[in-house]
Amino acid sequence: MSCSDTAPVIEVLYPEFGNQAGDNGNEMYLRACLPDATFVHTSYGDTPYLADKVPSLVLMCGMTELQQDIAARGLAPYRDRLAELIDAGVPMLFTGSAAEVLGTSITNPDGTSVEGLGILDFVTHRNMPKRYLDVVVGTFVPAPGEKPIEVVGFKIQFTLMEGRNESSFFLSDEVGFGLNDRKQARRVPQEQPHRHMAHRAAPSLQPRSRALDPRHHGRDGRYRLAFEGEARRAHDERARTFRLPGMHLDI
Amino acid sequence: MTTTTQKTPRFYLAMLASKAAIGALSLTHHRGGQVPGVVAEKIDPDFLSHIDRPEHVVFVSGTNGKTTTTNLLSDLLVDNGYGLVTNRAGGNICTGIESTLIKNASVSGAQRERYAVMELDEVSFRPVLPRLDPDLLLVTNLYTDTFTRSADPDYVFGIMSHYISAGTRLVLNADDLISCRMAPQNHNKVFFSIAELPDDTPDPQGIVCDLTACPKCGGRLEYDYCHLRHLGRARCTACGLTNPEAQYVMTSVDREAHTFTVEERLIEGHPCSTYHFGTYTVANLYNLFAATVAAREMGLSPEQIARSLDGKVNITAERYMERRVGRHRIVNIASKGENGTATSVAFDTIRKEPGTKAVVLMLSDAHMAEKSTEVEFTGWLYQADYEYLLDPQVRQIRRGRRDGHRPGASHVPRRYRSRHRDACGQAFPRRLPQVDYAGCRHHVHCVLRVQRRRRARRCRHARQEDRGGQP
Repeated sequence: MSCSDTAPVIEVLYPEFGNQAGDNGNEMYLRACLPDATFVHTSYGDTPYLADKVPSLVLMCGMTELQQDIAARGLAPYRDRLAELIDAGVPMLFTGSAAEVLGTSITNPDGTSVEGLGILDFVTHRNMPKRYLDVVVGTFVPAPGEKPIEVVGFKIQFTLMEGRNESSFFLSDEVGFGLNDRKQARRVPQEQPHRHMAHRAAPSLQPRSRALDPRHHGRDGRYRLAFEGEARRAHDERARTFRLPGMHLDI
Repeated sequence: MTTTTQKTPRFYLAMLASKAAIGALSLTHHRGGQVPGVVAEKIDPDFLSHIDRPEHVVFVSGTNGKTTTTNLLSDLLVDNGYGLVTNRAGGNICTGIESTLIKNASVSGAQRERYAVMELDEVSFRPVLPRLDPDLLLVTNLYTDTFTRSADPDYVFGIMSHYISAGTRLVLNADDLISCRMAPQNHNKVFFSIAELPDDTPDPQGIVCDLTACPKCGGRLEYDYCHLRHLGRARCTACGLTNPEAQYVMTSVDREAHTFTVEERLIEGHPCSTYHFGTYTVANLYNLFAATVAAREMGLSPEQIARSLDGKVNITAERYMERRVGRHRIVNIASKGENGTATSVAFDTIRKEPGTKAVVLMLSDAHMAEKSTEVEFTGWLYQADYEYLLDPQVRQIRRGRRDGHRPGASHVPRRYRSRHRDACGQAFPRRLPQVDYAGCRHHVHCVLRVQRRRRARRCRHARQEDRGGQP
């Protein structure tokens, strides 16, 4: 299911929801990096492009709790198709709270729960008004044997996750907590990494992200990172400062 | 003056300690907005329930415009002889409300002034409203606010809506399809709305809109018009949700005469009143209109309001200042920090001003960078419409700095800088002729901090001079 010989097609799921916390910047940056790409916007109620075609990347960004519930309902008919595309290696970038929709369920503080897509094996617990804030430095291995990519990000959320992700995870964290805060520690030894599936790891913060890797969008070498020098400097500065002992976000 | 619960010995101790704190702050020339409340809460955690409440309590809340609207409403009331206490110099969270009431109280806790008009932070509804139920609550609007603290409008809406009691008179903005749905348990509501204006847009404005989908069902919204961001008239194509009918309608605006007309549909015959405004922006109109409606609900007559607005009552200079230096207009616009919407509205105001412009961005929140183990979440920058400054009339952009703060170099997004270079053919020219206008600064949260620093610096210099220049 590769699109390597054609201009990339990036499907943005529910862009009208996914604009929280600057996550709209993800698409802006991808557009700047991939000027030839076609961006397909799928609004709530529309049939997704991925239903019968193969996009180069599926992007869904952070949204409110109510919108999470609506998105889970809207994507439920396409659950198997999403799983099929994931298994086939189509990159999926779900940032911020969007990733929580992929789990089995989301529970509310009042005890009610919302059914997730059940593609990944974890449960999300909303704990409003408790706010969890953290900075993250982790590594992402695109494929077995490939060079790890350093990823920096923020965690700002009401939720903690429960589940087993030892065999399937996005990042190994060096700094910051993973699925939940039970083992929260600023500097986790490399040999005991926390693992988690989702961060607020916007591509605009990730000049080394696979989502921006030209090899995954066809026409090798044709695409360049937008504002590459500045993006790399910002990434390196964040990676340095996030590792400082005690570094944190404050309310 | 009424008491909500019985006073305890801890309450009296808290009153004495907080009064002592006010005295100490005064002696050391500090304002200490929230300190008395912090002290009182330490001793009596339920202090707000124990202190007497003024006879009439009014809260003004909402993401944008609450400070300006509170000040306007207070000024209107004071100008018409109302004795009131306000938290203009204090904080808008629970300890700020407590501090304001402490300053207005005797040691026994009895309130001196009959009216309290206070700005209330949206998330602080949770600790405040169960203890101090207002008679009137004005909500200006709901937008995305500081993400680290306030998350999203849905979350804030849920908190506010939950804690509003059925007895409070609610004054809501009918043009805001988010906040107008507040508190379904309350049936004591009045709505205000601005009718279609010539400069309206057919769709919501901005790189990020807080209302791109129905807030109830997620369905597609069809807009008739938008005055400011998502404020306007819309309906959901799926569930039919639409704006409520307003009882106060701004039916027309005369920009040349600096007047707006309000039709009161609560009253038989729908009488109209005309009021004066100073500087025209839609945000200013909303603030002025909201304050006018609240003042009417509190008993001021249209004539009293009109007389005050014709006289000295206007938008306070803290948020908007304008002066002329030679042939240049210098306009200073403050906007809330870490808030893409407020910043965008300021940029939009600037681009709509006539003439060529130089824009100075002064980022007061750069003080956050001074904390060595604290990092700022920069996501809001992607929600701010820096692209508005690509207007060809904007000839120059400079980064400014406020006293004691490092300039925030990284705060001018690269996406903007690059495009501006393309548009102007050069990067940030230092000198450009024929600039008529200059404006904009960001973030007002640390205005007091700056004033304190300036005062501290002046004191330090004075002490040094007393010691013959020795540090």
